[in-house]
Order: sequence, then C-alpha cells, then structure tokens
Amino acid sequence: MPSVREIIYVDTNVVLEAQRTGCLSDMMERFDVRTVEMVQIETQTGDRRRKGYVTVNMEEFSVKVTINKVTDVHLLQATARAPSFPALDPGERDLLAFVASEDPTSLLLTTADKAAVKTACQLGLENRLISLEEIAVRCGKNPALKRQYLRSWLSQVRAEFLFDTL
Amino acid sequence: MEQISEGLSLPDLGRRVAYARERIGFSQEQMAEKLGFRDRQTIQAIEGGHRRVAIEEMVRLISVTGQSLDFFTDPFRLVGEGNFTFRAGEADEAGLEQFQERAGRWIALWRHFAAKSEKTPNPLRFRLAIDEHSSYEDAQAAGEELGKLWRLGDVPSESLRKTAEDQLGLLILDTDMPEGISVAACQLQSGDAILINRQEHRGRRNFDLAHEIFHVLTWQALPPRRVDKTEPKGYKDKRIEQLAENFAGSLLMPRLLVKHHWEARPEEADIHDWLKAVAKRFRVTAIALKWRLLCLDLLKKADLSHIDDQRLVLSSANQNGHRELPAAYSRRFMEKMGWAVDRGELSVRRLASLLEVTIEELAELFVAHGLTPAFEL
Repeated sequence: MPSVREIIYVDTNVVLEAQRTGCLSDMMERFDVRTVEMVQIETQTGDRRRKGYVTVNMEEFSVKVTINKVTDVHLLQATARAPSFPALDPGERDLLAFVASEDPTSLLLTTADKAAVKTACQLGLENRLISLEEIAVRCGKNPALKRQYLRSWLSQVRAEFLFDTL
Repeated sequence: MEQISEGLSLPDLGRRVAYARERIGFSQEQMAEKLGFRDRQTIQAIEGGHRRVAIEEMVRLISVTGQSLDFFTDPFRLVGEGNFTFRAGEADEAGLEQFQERAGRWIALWRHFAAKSEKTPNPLRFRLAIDEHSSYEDAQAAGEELGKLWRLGDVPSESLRKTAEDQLGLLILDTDMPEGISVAACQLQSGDAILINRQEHRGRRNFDLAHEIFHVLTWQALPPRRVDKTEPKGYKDKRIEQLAENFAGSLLMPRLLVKHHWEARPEEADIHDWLKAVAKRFRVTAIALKWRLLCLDLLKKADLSHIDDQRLVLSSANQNGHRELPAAYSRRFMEKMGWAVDRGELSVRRLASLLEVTIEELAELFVAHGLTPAFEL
C-alpha cells in the first residue's frame, strides 16, 4: 500500500455498485475515499424491500470515508460554471460542487452517470475522472460491473462531451 | 444600475426572484435596500432577466426571502405558475397540494426537455367555441364536430389520447394519485397537461380525459374551479361541469353510432347487459352510456327507474382475470426522458427520484413503454 493514498471522491451510484460487486472494502483500504453528506444519505435511503436495494455497511463506511459538508456557496459557484448542473441529483450536485472547489490536481473523481460526466467536464474536471473498473483493477479486483462503470464507457462518453459529438 | 459580468444567469431566475419578493410582500425598493443595492432598478433588471445575480447576492437573496437555493435554480419545478383543476370527491386540501407539487415536477420536466428537443414548437393555442351562454346542446354539438374533425372513428376513445397529444400539444400522463382524485388538468403558458389516475377503470379514465379536454379548450371562457367536485353545488360550477359532461359524452359516443347500436339491440335483451356490452365497445362506463342515451332522448327519464346502477359496474379485470393498469406516465413522456438521459441532459438518479421509482424500476418503466433504457447502472 502506498504511504500516501490517492484521494478519490465517490458518488452514490459508484458506492452502491462497488458494494454490490464486493469491492467497496478494498477500495476504502487502497484509496483515501471521500464524499459528501448527501451521498452518504442516499446510500442509506430507500425501501429495503424494493427491487435493486443494496445495503452498505454504514459503520465501516463512516469510519473509513471522509464525509464533507457542502454549502450554498459551493452549489452556487458550480451552478454559475456548469449549465447542466441543475439537472443532477442532489448527491451528484453536492459532490461535484465540492470537488470543483478543491485543488483538482490532487484528486480523482468517479461517477457513472452521463449527465454527471458532462457536468464534470463543464467544471474542468475531465482529466480527474476515473471509472470504477479502473479503481477495482488498481485494488487487484476484477468484478462483473455494469456497463456504465467500465473504462470503455467513461472514455467514450468523455470524448463525446469534449468533442461535442452528441 | 450595477452591472456584473459573472454570476448566475438561469432562464427563469428573474421571474422566480419576483415571485419570492411578492411572497414576502416587499416592494422592489424594499428588496433593493435589503440586498444592499443602491437603487430599485437593479432589482427590476434582475427580475426582467437583464442582469446576472452574483453569488454573494444570491446568498443574501436566499436569506432575505427564506427560500431554498432550489427554489431559484431547479428547472424541474413549477414556481408560481400553472393553474390546476382537480376532479376530486373527498380529497383533502393537503393531499391536493402535495399532489400538485409532484405533478408540477413532471410537467416542468416535460416542458424543459420539450423546449430543448423540439425545433419548431407549435405557437398556436386552440379553444372551443363554448362560453357561459352556451347550452348543453351546444356542448354536445361541439363534441360531435370535434370527433369528426379529428377523425376519431367508430371507437373515439381509442385514438383520442394520441390525437389530443398531436393536435393540442397536450402532455397526458397516467399517474398514481391520492385517493379521491380521478384526474387533474394544468393550464400553463408553455402548454397544458392532463394527469389521469391510472388506478381508475379504463372507461372512467377515457371519460375523464374527454372531460378535461373540455376544460383545457375552454379555460379562458369557463375557468374551472380548483377542485371540481364530482357533485358540484353552486349553479355556475354545476353548469360548467355539465357542459363538460355533455361534451365528453358526445365526443366519445357520437350520436349516429349510439343510435345505430340502440336500434340494433335485440328486443329481449336485458338493458343492463346491453348497456355493459355497448359501453365496453366504446370503452366507456355503462353509466356514462346510460346518460348519453338520455341526452339523445333514446332513453326516457321514466326508463331510469328500471335501471339499477349497481348492475352496470364493469369489471376492471381483463379476460385473464388480471387488472388492467396502464404503465405510469406515457410513452411520449418517457421517450423524451430517454432522450434527455442519453444526451447527458438529465441524471438517471434525478429522473428516478422525480418519477418516484428506484433506478431498477426506472429501467422497467422504459421497457413497459416499449423503449430501451438509455442507461445501464
């Protein structure tokens, strides 16, 4: 394990998919995982009886993940810079607004939503994006991930937004 | 007036600032003073959409008005706009308010992406030539003529929905509503919407749609009450609702077709069985058909005493014994949402939350409308 772990910001979709495929614990060991309060809330929200519900071990998550507080100023700054920002879910919004206020050279960001990738590009974070597949590989794992968590998907979508080919 | 080059410039921000100011009862001068502007013209420029709002100004605006940030920036909500009417029996005001908030989000979603994706929105708004002086016969004639104009055919309810969507640019959604509400309509500058309680019997849904089309087409001349009781009390309200009922009956059950069925009925046929069978063909309720026969003078008032409404209730189950429940929202609506997600214009999780489903259920909703989900999350 490196002495200084890389910082990685995660959104709700990624946390749930990492949990579902059994690589969340490895990820929390290998990286300095960070997120925002709203993402933490979203990972616990929902009806456990409904289809697709994934249970995250919150005890472990709260201890190993740094949870950041987001202010209206963070959100307003992102709204002013990224036209597609209001189309995001509250967790995605808070995460991107917070990450955009940090030094982008010292962090990685993982999201699997197309609108979130688009907004990240608008906020100048395109080079900080990383797929869950890449993270899992760096943890020595090879889980069966859904398509939007793959390197190929992220690479294609990022290119579409950067070259405006949609 | 101060000018700033950076800050927020959202399409509806000025109108929302004005609405928030009015809600706290401030004049533009008072607002300018509270926000630390030198003059009223700065507020005027913001509200007119001619000046951006700096981030620190926006923080003060949130504090002064007591509104949330989303109130000013969220495109997927109706803020201070939209006239609603609900056809409701016993629904309480809190339930209506709550549903209006939810419905406003679906309508705002549609409006946002319709404006983005359609190159040539129809600038025309249609109205029906009916007003407070019109008779029930006028309303019936209007229904008959509209059915012919729209070429609705032998079973008008089959094509009414699509035709109304195409011809009027209406948003029509099947939704789950609080108990007691069967249908709602919303009048908006950018386009009207009708929301139908999908839990209702198919025949009732069809009739409610035709009824609300009347309101949408006569909103200026005959504004409906916010809550359109199934049994209105005041004379004027009762009259508007009866005009709507007459219009809906004739639109869905054209005179010549009803007469044809009536004249072809076997003499020995039990009236209840006959009403149910013909109502099924028209896809309306047997009770609606009974009233239509009365309007057409094919049934007399005296005949009504021989008809037991309890025996006219149609089953909601199909031939296999399963209850018919249309997929929520509409194919047209979901197509637009798929377009938005596919272009990265809308987050999947946000859409799921607005439609009140999980991400897995959202994928199933696309499939239920015959569409391929635009995501694999």
